[in-house]
Amino acid sequence: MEFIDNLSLGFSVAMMPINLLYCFAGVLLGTLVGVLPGLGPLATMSMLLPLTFGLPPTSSLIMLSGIYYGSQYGGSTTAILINLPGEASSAVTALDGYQMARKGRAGPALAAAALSSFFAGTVATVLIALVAQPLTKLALKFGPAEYFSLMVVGLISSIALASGSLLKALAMICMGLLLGLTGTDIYTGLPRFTFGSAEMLDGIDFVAIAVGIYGTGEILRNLEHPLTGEATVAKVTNIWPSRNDLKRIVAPTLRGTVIGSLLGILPGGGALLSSFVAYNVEKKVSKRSEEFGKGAIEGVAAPESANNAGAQTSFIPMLSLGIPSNVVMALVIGAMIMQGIQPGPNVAVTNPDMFWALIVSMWIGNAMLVILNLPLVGMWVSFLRVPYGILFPAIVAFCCIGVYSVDNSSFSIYLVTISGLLGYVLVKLDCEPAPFVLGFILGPMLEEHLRRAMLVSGGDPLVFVTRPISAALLVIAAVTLYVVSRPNVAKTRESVFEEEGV
Amino acid sequence: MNGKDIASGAFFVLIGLAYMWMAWADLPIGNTLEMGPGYFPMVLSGILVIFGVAIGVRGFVNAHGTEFGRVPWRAVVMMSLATLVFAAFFDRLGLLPGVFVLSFLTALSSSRNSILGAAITSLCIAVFCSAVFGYGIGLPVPIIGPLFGF
Repeated sequence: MEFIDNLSLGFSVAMMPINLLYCFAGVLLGTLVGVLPGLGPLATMSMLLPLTFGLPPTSSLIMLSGIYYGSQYGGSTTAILINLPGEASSAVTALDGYQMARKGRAGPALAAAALSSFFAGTVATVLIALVAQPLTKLALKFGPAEYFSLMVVGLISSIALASGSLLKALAMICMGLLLGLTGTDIYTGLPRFTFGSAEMLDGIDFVAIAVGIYGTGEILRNLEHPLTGEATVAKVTNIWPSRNDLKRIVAPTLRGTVIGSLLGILPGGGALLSSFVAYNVEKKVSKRSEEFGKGAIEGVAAPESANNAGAQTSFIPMLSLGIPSNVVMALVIGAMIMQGIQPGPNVAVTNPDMFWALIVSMWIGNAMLVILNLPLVGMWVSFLRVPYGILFPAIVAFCCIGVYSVDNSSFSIYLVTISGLLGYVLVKLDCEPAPFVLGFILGPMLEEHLRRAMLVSGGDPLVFVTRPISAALLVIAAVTLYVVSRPNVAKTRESVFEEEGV
Repeated sequence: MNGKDIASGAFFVLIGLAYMWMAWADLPIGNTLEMGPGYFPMVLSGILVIFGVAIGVRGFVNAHGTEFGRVPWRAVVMMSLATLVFAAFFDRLGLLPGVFVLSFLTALSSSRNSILGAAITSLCIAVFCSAVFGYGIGLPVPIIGPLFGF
């Protein structure tokens, strides 16, 4: 009955008008961001982070999450209508979705995407509610050694998501960890790596780093290849899928949901990986595999359900363990810390109303998205015509004001300039920024648990392998590292990211 | 030869050495029982140097290089200039002129934006931001700053 009680607590908080409002604002912005080319959920979330400080923590987290899963919906709209995935995770949707649109079946493709996403979102919400609680209870038994090992798992699995060289991803983690240590040492009070600057005593502002890398850095990348003119937008006539269409999407949606839910839970998983795997599985098991790539509705339903399920279940490690499984979750953790909430298993105990309201809001948000996306698709299509030349100065303006408003100081804006340039150069050198950002977030926590674990064990480093949970976690990290480094896996990883144009 | 590997390897080694030196010079290292503030950075920067060397060596051994691609120099310069000017003068310029200058310089990053087009776009952005952040959210920065004699 605890499950029902928790959900009803969640409903009572999530249905409060203010939270409904911010949930709506989140999914609306998310859809918009997903539709607008060259503006991803990461840039938007970092831009809006400062604005959410004034809100109650629950409302701000509800809104930030809404942006994330809302962008999955919006991204699929552009993938289907103009063959330009607004989000990387919708890239595979474009394969069959756009072909359907060219055959005049844009409506059913959009409906298949929305309905399968909604179904997946509902299942994922229930799954989060079921799994997060027991995991939290397990995590409450964790000591510093377990936490240290858990974070190592989180960091190592972030590599699975990074494209390109394994060594570079590992180096990026180390660099992120080092940068994260900037500021006053908590044990001795000594300033570290602050270059004598008083502004850096509290550490480097995370928002400035995120905005630099994913805001201005990303714009520099987009300006390498100026987006060419207006895209031809497929006409949407009849939205509703035929009965035959509906029959065809049931099984792919179910399979996509299962795949997405599982891959989302894995640290390092999330929407991107899920959609790709679901599409390939569907292509293998489908009786109509020869139709794939030519407008098979299954090829829309499977990845769309998977990316939505994956986007949502990636909240599980974040909510129950305080470990971000991808950069979006790292941003949510950053938001929590700034709201004064220490992320970790304690969140469900100390802030049960926030915890459960966030989970329930995801389901409400998904329902809002179906309503927003199907009847209003015409409105979203018109946003596709916003030229990038107008968009990017606005993005930079919002980013800079947002960063300034964190502590009303210009210092962070200089950091945006530096991290934007640094992020751009690193991407040019084929170094993905995601492991760097995760390392930056986890750096201080990783060190704190390491030092505490060593104190507790009397300076014996074997503590990490003699405690069973910690040892198991380190084995997982080692296996992940081994699997990712296998030449054939490395090659598949490469092709995944090449095809998706990430 | 792979120029990207060599360059990024060198970069990682450089950063690693810099951190190592800073940790060594300024911070007590401690021992495994009671780690000083320099212990963890020391270990990390050591690992970073090792990875950097490995990446660099691989760059020399690797047979095929990769394209560096084109760099939008104009955008790099204009966007950096825009954010630096904004950081330096935002307080004194105020919200409306500050955002206008920021957006205007940024808009000129792209050669597709004409001067006039950039000015119109920036004016709209500046007015919108002044309304939202100044009146709406109440950012403690005047709409028109002290630089203009108000």
